[in-house]
Amino acid sequence: MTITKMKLSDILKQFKYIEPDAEFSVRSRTEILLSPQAAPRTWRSVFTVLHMVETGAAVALAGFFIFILAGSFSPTRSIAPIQYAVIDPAGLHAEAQAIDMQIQLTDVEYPQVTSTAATSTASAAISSAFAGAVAAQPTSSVSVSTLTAAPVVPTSTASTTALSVDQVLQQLSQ
Amino acid sequence: MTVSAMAAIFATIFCVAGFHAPVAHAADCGITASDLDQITAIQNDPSLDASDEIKQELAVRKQLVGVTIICAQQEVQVLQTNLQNVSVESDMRSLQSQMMGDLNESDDFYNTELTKLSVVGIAGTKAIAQEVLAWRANTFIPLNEDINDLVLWNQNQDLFNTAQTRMTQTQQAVSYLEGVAPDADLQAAFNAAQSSFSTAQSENAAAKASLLGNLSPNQTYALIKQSLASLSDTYDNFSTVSALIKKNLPQ
Repeated sequence: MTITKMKLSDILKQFKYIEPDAEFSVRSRTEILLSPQAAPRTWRSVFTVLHMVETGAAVALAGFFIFILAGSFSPTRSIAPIQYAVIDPAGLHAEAQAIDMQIQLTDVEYPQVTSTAATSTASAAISSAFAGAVAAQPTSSVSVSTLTAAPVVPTSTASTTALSVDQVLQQLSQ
Repeated sequence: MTVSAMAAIFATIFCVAGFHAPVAHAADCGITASDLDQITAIQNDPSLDASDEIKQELAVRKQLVGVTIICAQQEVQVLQTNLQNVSVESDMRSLQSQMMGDLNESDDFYNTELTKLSVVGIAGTKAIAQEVLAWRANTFIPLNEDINDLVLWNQNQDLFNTAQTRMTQTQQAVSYLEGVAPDADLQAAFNAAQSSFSTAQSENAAAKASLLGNLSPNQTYALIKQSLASLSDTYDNFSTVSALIKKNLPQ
């Protein structure tokens, strides 16, 4: 048993003397050195980002020149000490007029509903809608539809003046 | 040039041009004095016996009160539309939401009154009319005025932004000219423009604070009007400054 172990040990020790064939070594080294080397991964990322920046800058520059050619943007106006808008009477007048219009709008009393112009179609629509709603109520003992079908004819110009919601409610609460 | 950049340019053009969303107005109800005269006509009609008179008067009163309440609901709808169309600053969004909630409650109130109307007599219709009238005076009309103030104030901000741009451009021009050839008149006119614009901005900020602080709608309205008057004064001064700048430019 001991003898067998010693033989095996000797055999294993002899493995360290194993060497490749000299010609094979040279050929392999040459092939490795001549093969194309890939750039490190980090550098590839940098190159990709730079390429994107380059493309973006090109697009932005192209857009800038398109604006100039189209006349929508004048670099001289933007960087000039006195911009044309400051001395342009038309622009100044338009802005001032917009403020005057807003002042007029503010002065207008907002309708408190209203009924200032008595639109017959609107009135008729509301009347018919309400008449239908009330007619559907079983508790109503009076036929409203009969009354809506025979409205009282206005007797004077003053009586055709439309009233506000609050004026009507005031009258009907008495 | 991205799509968002183009959109921003168009938005700026619209702002500079002073574009405003129009304020919608309430619908007309068309209830006239002659409609109310129907009640008196029935009461004075000798051909009607007491029972018919009561039935017809009740029907007319129900119809008129009902139509009026439906008309008031249209008023609520108009305000809802106006309020929804307003794009407010972030610190005013809670106020906008609160107002929208109040409008929904108003609509509910009117629906409740309409339901009550179907089961009442003549005295009941009078009571409902009185109740709605009092509720409007105490609750709805102040809410209506507050919403109108918010819409107006919001519209004014485009005008203020445009004026701020003009102020910046004018300041740049005046500084340049004062460096080249000082002009006391020009400087005085520009100072006046700055002063009136500062006043307008203060009043505009006060109107916003009044809105957010739930102060009286009339107080807010007065501040809004004052801010616009001061802004108008600013443009009078801008006009003077512009003429003086033009005069000082080399011909």
